[in-house]
Amino acid sequence: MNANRFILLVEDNSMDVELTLRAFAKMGLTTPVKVARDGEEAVEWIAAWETGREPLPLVMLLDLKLPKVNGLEVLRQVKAKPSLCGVPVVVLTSSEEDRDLRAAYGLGANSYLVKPANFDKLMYLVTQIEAYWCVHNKSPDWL
Amino acid sequence: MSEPNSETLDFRWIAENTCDWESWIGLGGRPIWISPSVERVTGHTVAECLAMPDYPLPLVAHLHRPEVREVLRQGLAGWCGNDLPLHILHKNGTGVPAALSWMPHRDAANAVIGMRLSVRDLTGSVRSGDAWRYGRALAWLVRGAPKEESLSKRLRAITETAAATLGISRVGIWLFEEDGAVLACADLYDRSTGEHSAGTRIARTDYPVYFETLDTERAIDAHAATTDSRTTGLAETYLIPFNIGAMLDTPIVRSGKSVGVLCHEHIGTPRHWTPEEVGFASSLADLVAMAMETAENRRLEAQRTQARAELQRMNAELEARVVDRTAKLREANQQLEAFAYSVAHDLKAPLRGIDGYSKLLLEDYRADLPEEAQRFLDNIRLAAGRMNQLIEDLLAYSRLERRELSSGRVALSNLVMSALAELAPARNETLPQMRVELNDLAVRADPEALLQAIRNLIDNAIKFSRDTERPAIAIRAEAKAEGGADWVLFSVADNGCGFDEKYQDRIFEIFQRLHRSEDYPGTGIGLAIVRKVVERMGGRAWAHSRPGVGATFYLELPS
Repeated sequence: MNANRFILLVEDNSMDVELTLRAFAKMGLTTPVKVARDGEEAVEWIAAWETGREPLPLVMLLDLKLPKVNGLEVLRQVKAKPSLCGVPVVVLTSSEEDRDLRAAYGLGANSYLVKPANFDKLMYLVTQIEAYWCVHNKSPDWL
Repeated sequence: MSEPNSETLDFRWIAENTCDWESWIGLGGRPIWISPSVERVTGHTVAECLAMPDYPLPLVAHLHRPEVREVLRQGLAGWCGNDLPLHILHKNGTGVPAALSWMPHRDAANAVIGMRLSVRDLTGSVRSGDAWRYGRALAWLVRGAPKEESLSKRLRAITETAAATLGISRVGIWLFEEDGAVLACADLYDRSTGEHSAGTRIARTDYPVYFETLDTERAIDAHAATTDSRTTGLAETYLIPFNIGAMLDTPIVRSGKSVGVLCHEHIGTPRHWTPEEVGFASSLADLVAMAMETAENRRLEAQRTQARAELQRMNAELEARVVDRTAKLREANQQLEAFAYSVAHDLKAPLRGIDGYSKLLLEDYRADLPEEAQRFLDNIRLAAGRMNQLIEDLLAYSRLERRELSSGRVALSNLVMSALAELAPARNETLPQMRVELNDLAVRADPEALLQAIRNLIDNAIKFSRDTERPAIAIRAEAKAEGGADWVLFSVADNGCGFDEKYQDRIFEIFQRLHRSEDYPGTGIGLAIVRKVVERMGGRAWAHSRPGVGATFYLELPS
């Protein structure tokens, strides 16, 4: 596996960040997880991808409620840019509302997952995510 | 009438049998011979006429006497003439329209020895001519009236037409006021000046005989107003000052009640009113009544139109208010939705933290945690889990409130199968035995909402059968007709622990629970959701139970 490939977690809540990272660790998942703490940092990553300074991630886990630039705007930017629209974006949010679901898919989200309240379920979820986006449906390295 | 004898055929026979009234006057001015027909025309016998001084003047209307005197003089002077129109005074007081013709009698030497007067009774032709004129005047008044003519204009048209058609100088419309105690003049037309006036008032108490006559008689045709017993009371204050010789008064009647009188006043001399004139005057009075009726109707219509406009205005205002309130309500709903959404989101985040970190503690620091500490952490996780469930239930309940329910035909079997398919057996439990008898029935419902209700009922049935040895659940539906409509009775029956029926109503209320949460987990919202769903669809929800035996929950849904 190319050491450059990673998962980008875009999440502002520091507890959620730690729990998610711990869940990945506990399940023994090896793909590195990098973190953007708010919408602005996410946009910086987007700029870095566009200029080629950073390699594209295997998958972006995106929370919707972000400070500075909100999640839907980040999603829109990624999916609008021809060089980036191939990056899989999994919306990971606590909202079960229809309108958020529709908005996310409308902007091109690849998947919409609700953050589980239960840690056990979170561990199960991250396993699935890694298996799907980083192994079975892994996008080619040259992308 | 004797048969004409060809030998005796002479003027005398003709004279005796003619329809005209013939008189032969001698040079001295005295009548020599008068035809018997005089009696028919004047009501006086030949003998009475011969005895009259100044014959024929007493038989001629005053107005025409000077002319007739001149005729006599001319005739006896040798001149002739014909068709002088005049009125003959009948013995009974009526005036007879007639035409007078005259010619001198000459002897063989052509000297005047007398004259002959011929009077032709014009009653027939005059009367038919009059009838035609009156008919035309009435038709003109009725048809010629412009649609939106004001009452005062109409009254003026009537008085003017009356004066012109009957050839009289004064016509007045008087209306009762103060409950019949006063007659007030609404319009008085003076033909000699062409002017209208109004306002004069006369009181019943001052002229009791006249007012009483108005109440009782169909018309007052006083040909000599000052002497007629019905109108003589008016002589001093009214008739003489205005030189009124004859009056023709017809009452104005509306809905059988007399509301006034139409007065025709002939100036100067007495005047005999023909039956046609009285009829015409009565018709005119009817037209006055009609005009007043129309004016009243127009006023009422205007009132009604105004009331209708007012009603429309109020309606529009109410509509506007409803629209405004609906908009406000919608806004409030949206605010509530936003509130519920953000509250739920904000509440769930810390719960994730509580659950996650307590789990990490249990896993990563198990070795360092005494058993009691582990139990504490377990309790923390339980509490967090319950709180999460509560939030989910609240969100579901509020979503139900906010959502517009659709209404379509839903097969119950589809929903029940969906709900049963979702049931995943918990780790050490087996599902109760399920019996489903739905009879292929369908109901009119919102599928999502009803599914939630059914799900909740089944969850409850399973939950409360947990301690039963051989748990069994029966899900049934049967058709029912009640109150003229078709219903479906849906039921979920279990053989679990049941409940005391006296709490039957309370269990459907939000947050009402009959068990302690450690015994049977639950937030107390499930049944509240069931009842809300069913009630919003127009149905009912209730339950029967016996503690220790089981419980059956019923839903009555429109079919």
